[in-house]
Formats: sequence, structure tokens, C-alpha cells
Amino acid sequence: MNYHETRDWLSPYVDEALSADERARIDAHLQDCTECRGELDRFRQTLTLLQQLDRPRAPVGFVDRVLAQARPLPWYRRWLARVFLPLPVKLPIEAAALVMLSIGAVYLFQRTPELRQAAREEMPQATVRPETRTSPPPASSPEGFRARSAERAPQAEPESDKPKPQRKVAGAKPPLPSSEPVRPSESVPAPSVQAEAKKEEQAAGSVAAPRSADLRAPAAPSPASPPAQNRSDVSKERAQDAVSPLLRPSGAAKSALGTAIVAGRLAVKDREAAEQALSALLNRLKATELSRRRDSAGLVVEVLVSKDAYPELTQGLARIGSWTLEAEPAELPAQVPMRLRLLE
Amino acid sequence: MRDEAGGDAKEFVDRLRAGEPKAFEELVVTYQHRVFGVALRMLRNAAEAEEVAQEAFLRAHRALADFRGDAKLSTWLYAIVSRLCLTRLGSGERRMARQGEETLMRLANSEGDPSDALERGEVEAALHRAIAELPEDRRIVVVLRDLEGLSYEEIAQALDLELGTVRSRLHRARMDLKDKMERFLP
Repeated sequence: MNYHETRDWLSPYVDEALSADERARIDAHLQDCTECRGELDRFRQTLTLLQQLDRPRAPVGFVDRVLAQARPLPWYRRWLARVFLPLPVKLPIEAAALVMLSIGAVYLFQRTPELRQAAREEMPQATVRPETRTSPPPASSPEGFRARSAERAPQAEPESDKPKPQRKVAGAKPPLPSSEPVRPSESVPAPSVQAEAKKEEQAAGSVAAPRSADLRAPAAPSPASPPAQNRSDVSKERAQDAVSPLLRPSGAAKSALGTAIVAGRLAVKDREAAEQALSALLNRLKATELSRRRDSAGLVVEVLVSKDAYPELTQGLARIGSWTLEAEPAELPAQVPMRLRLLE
Repeated sequence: MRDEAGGDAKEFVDRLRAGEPKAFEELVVTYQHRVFGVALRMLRNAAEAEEVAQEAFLRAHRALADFRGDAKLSTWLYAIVSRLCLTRLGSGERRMARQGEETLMRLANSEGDPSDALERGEVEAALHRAIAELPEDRRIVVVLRDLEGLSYEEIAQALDLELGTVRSRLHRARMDLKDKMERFLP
């Protein structure tokens, strides 16, 4: 064994990791080689220096930090972390999903008549009191209107004030097929056919309309006023409209129901004879007379006639007098509400 | 429990495998300095060393249920921290610049008077520098053998190396250190 071979074996020699034979050979060489003995001494001193190095100590609080990280989180924190972390990724996704769900829910609600029907049934139904419809208009002043409304409110619709916000929501008025604009008082539903009104409301896409339709008592609509009608007539008519539950629709109701009403004037020479002829005609066609009242302009009759009998009714009216159609919906419902004004 | 006695107490290993928090706390308390020491010798930065040492314990915590007891707990922990260090050194993602010896010196002398530490630190600093200049695969072998006292077999097990590879790497590392420290030797 020479110097270089001995150098290669110093490490296992110091660690006593050699076989007895290998160790004996190195020992023999070291006895004769002062250079290798010096090398071995320096090797051992280096290892001694290494082993004397201070052992680094973990920083204060190391154990606590490890244990805190290793400690299992409470179930809700694990759940929250799983659901929301990392926030920049999951939060936008979840917000988008929420929006999509909301849109889907609204779409489903609008496309499912059963759901809408169920929602309506939860709303309080208006109590119909026909006798209140025939009472005369109180006054043309706003005070009189308010007083009368307040008087009627507990009888016909105790919660009539509550749905105001809904009425405002659907305040936009769809145009009527008639060339003449129909005043709010003319946009009256036929409450006795709530189902039909609801269908119309669905067609109009109004959320508040069903509520308004429910609030309308079965009363005949007031006739449409011609554009030339003077302002005093208009105010009077509005005051009259305020009397009848039918004629007090909200803006939303007007817009939704106004599309389903037929209004017209029947100019006659003999009003009494015309009234009798009209009654006979309505009986023959099995039309329902909802109300009949007089005002300064003439007699206003509100009727409900089936869609099938409607053409015959208009023909009969033309035979009684000079029948002028003022408003007619584009599509007639199964039960057509009509407001006729008899003028002499 | 302690492997100083020649092996881990089965009862302690069973408690660890059962996930008993107190047993894990004992494990961390017992091995914190050793695991941290290996990380510091390898990474030469206290913050990184703590990060890696914590990660080593957390990985051990997650894997305790699967610990079969083929190796000693200490060897197992050394294996985890060694691999973490070598992975980090090889990844090139180290955030901090080499501050090696200075950090090591501060930590090594943290319990003594700083001025005294500076006076006696020249040889020590040279040795730290020499260790730091070793290639990583040799440095880890020296650290485990001469600083942590593992046997050749344990080092081979921890680093998943052949015994002959451990011997040759250790020998070369030691000879490098001897050559660099020769001027400080009597």
C-alpha cells in the first residue's frame, strides 16, 4: 500500500468501517510512512473541528408554529377554505354561478304558469261587493275621491293600500290597439274573469298586474271618452271611476288590463227603447251585465260577453243605434269585457 | 421512544401512528434542533431553514399513519428534511441570497456573548465556509455523518444511496475540508 492508496482509505479507517485485513494493511503502512501519519493526524483534527461545531438551535416558537400548522382545523374552517379558497379564483366563479341561478329561477318562474298561479294564490284575494259599484260618484273634487276611497277600502279590499309599490313597478302603459289613447280609468279589468285577466297579465309580462287584477271587483268598465271631450267631463268621469272598485285600477293594472277591454259609443234616438233593446240583446246572447249607471254624458253599461257572441253583439248594437267602436284589444279574451256608453 | 437507545419505542410509534397530538408534539420537541440544523447547514439561511424544517415535520405528520417502522424515526425525519433541502437547492427557486456563514455563525454562537463569538469565530467561520463550498451531494453526507452522527447505513437509507456511494462521497468531502482547513491546523 502506498501513500495515495492510504489517503483513499483514511475516511473509513477513521470511522472504523474497514475489515480487519484492510485495517491491518493500513496500520502497517502508517508505521513506516511519516507523511501518511501526518495526513491522518490532520484528517482527524479536521473531523474533530467538525464535530465541535455548535449545533444550530431551532428558533424560539418553532414547535408552536409547527403544531399550529399541524393542528386540524375545525370542520367549518375546512369547509370554508374548501369553498372559498383561493378567493381570486373561486369568488368570481361563485358570483357568476349565483347570477346564473337567479336568472334561471326568474326564467323558470316566468315560464311556469303553475308557479305563478301559486304565487298569486298566496296574495289576499279581493272581496267583491257588487252593491258598492252602483253607488253614485261622490264628488269631482280630490277630497271627495279620497274620502270615498277611504270609506270603501275596508269593505272591498282591506289591503288595497299595500300593493302600491307593485303598481309602480309595472307603471309602463302598453299602447292599446285603438287609435285613441285610453285614459287610466278605461284600463279596467273584468274582475269576474280573474283567470282571463291573469292570462292577459302573463301576456303583458307584468309582475304587479295579477295583484291589481285580484283587487278589481267585478264591475263594468266605464266607456272610453272621445278625445274631444272637455276637461270637466273628464274630471267627472274620473270621479265616477273612483267610485267603482273596477274603475280604480292602479297604473300597472290599467296597463295590463286595458288591452283586454272593448269600449264604444252607442248613439240612439230613444234612450229608453234602446236600453230595453240592449237588455234583450244581452239576455239573448247570455252576456253578463256587470253594471249600469247614469252620468251627465249618458248611460254607461258594463257587460261581459263571450268571445263567440261578441260579433253578434256588435251587430245587434249597430241595429239598436249608431255603434262606434272606440277601443278594442288586438286579441280578444274568451270573455270579452265591454263598456258601452249610450248617448241620446 | 428515543432512538438514542437503539430504536424507537413501539408504544411511542403507535401513539404517533394513531394521530395522538401529544405524541407528535413530543416528536417535534425532540427533533426540532436536529432537523433545523440539517436544513440550516444545507441552505445556509435561517428563514429558509425554518421553513423547510416546518415543512419536514408537517410532511411527517401527514405520513405518520403510514410509517412502518422499517427505519428509525430520526432516520426517517433526516430523510425527509434532506430531500426537501436537496429539492430546494436544485430547484433554483431560492429567494434569498447566500448569506451562509454569517447566518450560521450567528446561530451557532447565539447563546454566547457576541463579541466573544467574533473572537473565536475565525476557525469556525473558515469551517462553515468550507462546508458551504462543498457540492450539495457531498455536503449532505458530511452533515449527516460528522454533524448529526448517522451511520453509513443510515445515510444510505436516508438518501436512498448505495453504501459505496456514501463512502466515496464522504471521503471526498472530508478530504476537501481537510485541504481547506489545513492552514488552521497545528
